Amino acid sequence: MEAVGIDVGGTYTDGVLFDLRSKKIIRKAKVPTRPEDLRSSILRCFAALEVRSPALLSRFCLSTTLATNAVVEDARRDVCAICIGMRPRHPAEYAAETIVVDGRVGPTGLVEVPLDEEALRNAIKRSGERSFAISSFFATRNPQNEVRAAEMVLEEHPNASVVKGSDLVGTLGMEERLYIAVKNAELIHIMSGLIEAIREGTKVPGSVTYVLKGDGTLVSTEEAAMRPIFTVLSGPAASALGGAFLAGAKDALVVDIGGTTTDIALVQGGMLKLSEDGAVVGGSRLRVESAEMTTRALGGNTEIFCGDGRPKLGHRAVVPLCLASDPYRHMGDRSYLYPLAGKKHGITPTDLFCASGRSDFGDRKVASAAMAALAEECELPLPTLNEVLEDTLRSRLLRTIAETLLNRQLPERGDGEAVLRGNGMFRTVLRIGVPLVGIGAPVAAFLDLIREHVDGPIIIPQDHEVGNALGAICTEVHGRKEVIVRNEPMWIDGREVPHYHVAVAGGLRVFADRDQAVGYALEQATRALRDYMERSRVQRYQVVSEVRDITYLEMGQKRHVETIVSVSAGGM
Amino acid sequence: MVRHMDILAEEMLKIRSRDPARYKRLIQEGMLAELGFDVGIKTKAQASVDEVKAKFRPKDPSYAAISDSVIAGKRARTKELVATSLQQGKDPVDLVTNALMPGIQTQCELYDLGKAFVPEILMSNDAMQGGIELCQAQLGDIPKKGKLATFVAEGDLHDIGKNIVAAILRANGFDVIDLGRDVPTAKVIETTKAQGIQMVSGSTLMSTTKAGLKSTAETLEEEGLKVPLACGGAAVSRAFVDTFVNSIYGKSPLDAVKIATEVCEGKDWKEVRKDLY
Repeated sequence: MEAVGIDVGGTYTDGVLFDLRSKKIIRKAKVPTRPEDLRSSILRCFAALEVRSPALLSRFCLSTTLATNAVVEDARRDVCAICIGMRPRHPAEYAAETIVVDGRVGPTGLVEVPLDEEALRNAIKRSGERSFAISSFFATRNPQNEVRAAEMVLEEHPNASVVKGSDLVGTLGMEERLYIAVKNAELIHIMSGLIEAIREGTKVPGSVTYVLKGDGTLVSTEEAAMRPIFTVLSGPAASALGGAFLAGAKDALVVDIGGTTTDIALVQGGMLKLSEDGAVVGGSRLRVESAEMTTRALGGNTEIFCGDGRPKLGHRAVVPLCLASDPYRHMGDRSYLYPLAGKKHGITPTDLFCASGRSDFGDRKVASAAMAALAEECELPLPTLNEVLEDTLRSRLLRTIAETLLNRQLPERGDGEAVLRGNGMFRTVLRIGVPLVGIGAPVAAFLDLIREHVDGPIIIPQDHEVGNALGAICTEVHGRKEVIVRNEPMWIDGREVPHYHVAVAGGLRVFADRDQAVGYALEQATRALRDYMERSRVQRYQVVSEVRDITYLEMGQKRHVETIVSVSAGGM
Repeated sequence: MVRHMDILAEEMLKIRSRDPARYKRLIQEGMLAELGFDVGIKTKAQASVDEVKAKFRPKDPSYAAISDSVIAGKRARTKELVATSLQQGKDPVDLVTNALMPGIQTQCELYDLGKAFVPEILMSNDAMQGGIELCQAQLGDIPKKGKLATFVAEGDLHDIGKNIVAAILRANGFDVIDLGRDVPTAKVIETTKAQGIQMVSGSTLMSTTKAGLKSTAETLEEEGLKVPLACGGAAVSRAFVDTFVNSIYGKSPLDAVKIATEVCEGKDWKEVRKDLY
């Protein structure tokens, strides 16, 4: 019962060979990531794990930056975007070709302008692309035009891949859905290529291979190849889940401190707290579920410099002097003490911790020399300089933690931060309802700074450096489908008559009776969920369903707006 | 202490659903005033007319005179006073913000308390506009706080409320395109796109037409315009507005000003709801 987890990060690819029965790590591996060749990064990491019989692995879980990179880089542009009922504003920025045809559904899901099939068929015939993304106006209220267009694409180009916007997201915003569909279509070939290459390279059967999604749950390779966009931001999800797992906690606030940033996420009941509005990648909001993550510039490599004669903590990352290969070359003149543009090496928290003995990481002689030079430049005694800098690090970290828990931003050096910082007479202690779990290389020194400010357990688990690789293994497949029954009343002979609209993958159905509509919605949602679980190769699972009415009070009467039918299941 | 009839009626109906026995007893005793008296007023002591006027009254006597003539709704007199002030070398922007605006603000506040009525607001607005025209002639264009559109939902011809909202928004420095009454969603969308509208304010008096607000808010969202809909009107309640996306409920015309200010500062509808509810 051995499992392998691999997490491809921006800098390193981490791997872990894990015994599922004894829950023990057998071997760990860390290799540098080659961003232009994810396949080789994964295969080298896998080789380093020395798996004896790949064919007998019971689970192989992968978390990759593939989708995230593709969204950020914006390079390929080989998808034909089919827009029905609305001309998008910036299609040229992400699609190779854009087809716009008439065909409009209204907000209630009823057809307002029929689909111009002839124009659409001609345009599809002319298109030379092999990937198509379709988004139609109010498709989340009635997807029939997208369904019809997809059929037509396959009739004209039987080998094409087709993605429907309403199949990926259920929110309003036709162009947002188009963008996600285009990105998904772009990724389909890349993702299936990667999966195939890994299967060949590792000899692990595809039937035990899983890919991690941004919401921290696993999907089968088949599902990942169909909807690769859902794997964006799976890296942060993996490290948060892995951190909680290593700490043996179902609920935890996971603080991941790396070189450049601190990422904080909340795990509740073994599941990630998800962001309300979906992932933000490369400045664009993708309406796909992802962990709610607070990210701030604070890490082992954050720049420390002298500004206006005072020691300051910057926002960019530089190479710590105590880890540099030729440190004295960078310390030749005093320029390394100032925040110059293009500076690569400088003083960082790593140097501070190394010089003050908080960590054993780095060359202490170099760190001490650098700190002494900074103290001189700022005209402060060395102990005072250390105190000032530790105080600055502490308040930025406390502020970030408070921001995560409050779900709102606190301005830097604002009142909130002043209260958190306290002074000699007054100390704020945060009582956090869940244990605080720290992961990442420099985390111990950072969390030591806030120990007296947190009332509750602070756990820094062993093996936390491979927490992200482990995070991909310790989670499971989880499916959730939601179908909404919308009451769209019509006024007939001066009387309000309820009409219940149910939009599912096939199209819209209208019912006169609420219970019938809810029954239909439940049946459709369950069927979609079972498909998903089957595709994910989960044999045993229990479906949990929830039916929730959305109502409001008017003139003392309860009025029905919609009923949300949701079904979910988890398993492995 | 009885305020506007529509508010009174709404609160009576609330009592009916919350405490039917008491409602029945009061109705039988013919104590309508008692019903109106009882609700809503407990929480906040009502300011008197004089207090409201004193709150906004400018300190400078010549400004106070302008403000008073706006409250009184006298266009000719307002213009005369503003012209005199301009001749004396007063700053036109200062005149608008510190002499003319306090007048309409007083009137709006009085309306909110039920101490002023629709025609008075319209008259005050007219008087203020007269003064603003004179200042504008000296200045060129006064920078606007944002571009808005107002409309009454399709099928509804009741536009008094919408006219008040439009007037008060204009009085507060917004550029308002009034689409009128009985306006289909498509026309709202078309104007929003063509004119670069930042927020739309929609209202309706009848429950048969309130679905038009929902479909307008949803269509704006589906179009990806990032333009929220401020909803109000007798048939519209916060509970109803909260059941659909891209919308913010406002009870009084001053709420519309608060919502518009936040939206034009770049906040989205969720943030505005969080701030104002």
